[in-house]
Amino acid sequence: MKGLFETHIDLTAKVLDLRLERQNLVAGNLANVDTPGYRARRIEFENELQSALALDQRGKVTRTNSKHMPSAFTVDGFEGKGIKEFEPRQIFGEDRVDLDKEMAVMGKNAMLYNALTEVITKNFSGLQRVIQEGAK
Amino acid sequence: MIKNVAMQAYRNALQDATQLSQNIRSRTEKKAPAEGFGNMLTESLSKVNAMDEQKSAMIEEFASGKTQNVHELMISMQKASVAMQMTSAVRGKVIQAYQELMRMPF
Repeated sequence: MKGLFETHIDLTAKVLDLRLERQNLVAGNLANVDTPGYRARRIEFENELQSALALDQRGKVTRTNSKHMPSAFTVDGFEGKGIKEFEPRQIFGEDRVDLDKEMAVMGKNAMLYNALTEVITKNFSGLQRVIQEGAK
Repeated sequence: MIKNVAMQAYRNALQDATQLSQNIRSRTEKKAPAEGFGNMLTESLSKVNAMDEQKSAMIEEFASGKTQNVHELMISMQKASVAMQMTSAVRGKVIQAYQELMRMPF
C-alpha cells in the first residue's frame, strides 16, 4: 500500500535536487573561466537513475523471492556521480572551461528544472483537489 | 369419482401456479439488463486508472532524462487531471442521488 506522497513526488524532488546541484556546478565552472589549471566539473545522473528505475534496456526486474536484492528505487541511497569520481587528466584544449558549452548545459538544465517544478506543482494541486472533492 | 375431480382441480391449480411463476420469472429476467450501470462505472474507473498510470510512467521517464518531451508530458498530466476531476464529480452526483433516494418516503 502506497502512502500519500510515495508516488512520484519523491522522485521529482530528488531530480530537482540533482538539477540544482548541476546548476551550482555550472555556476562554479563559469566563475572559474579564467582560473589557470581549472577543469570543468560535471555531474551525471541520468543513466544511473534510468537503471535504478528499471527504465533502461534491461527492463523491469520483479522481486519473486524475499531473499532477492531490492531493485526498487529508493530516494535515500541515490546520488549522482561525478563529483567524487572526478579523475584529473591533462589534454590540451579540452580541459579549459568552454563558455558556450557551459551556457548550453545551464540553459537546458534550467528548462528541465522549470518543467519539473511545473510537474510537482500540478501533482500537489491535483492531490489537494481530490481531497477537497472527497470532503464535500 | 369425487377424489378424481378434486385431484383434477388441484392439478389445474398447480399448473396455473407454475405458469404464473414462469411468466413472472421471464418478465423479471427480461427487465434485468445484462450490462448495467455498474459495469460502465467500473470500466470508466479502470480507464481513469490507466491514464493515471501512464502519467506516472511519463513523469518517471521525463525526470530520469530518458525522454525530453515536455508537451506530451503536460498533455498526459492534464488528461489524467481532468479525468480525475470528472470521476470525483460523477462520484459526488451518484452519492447525492443515493441520499435523495434514501430520503424518499415509501
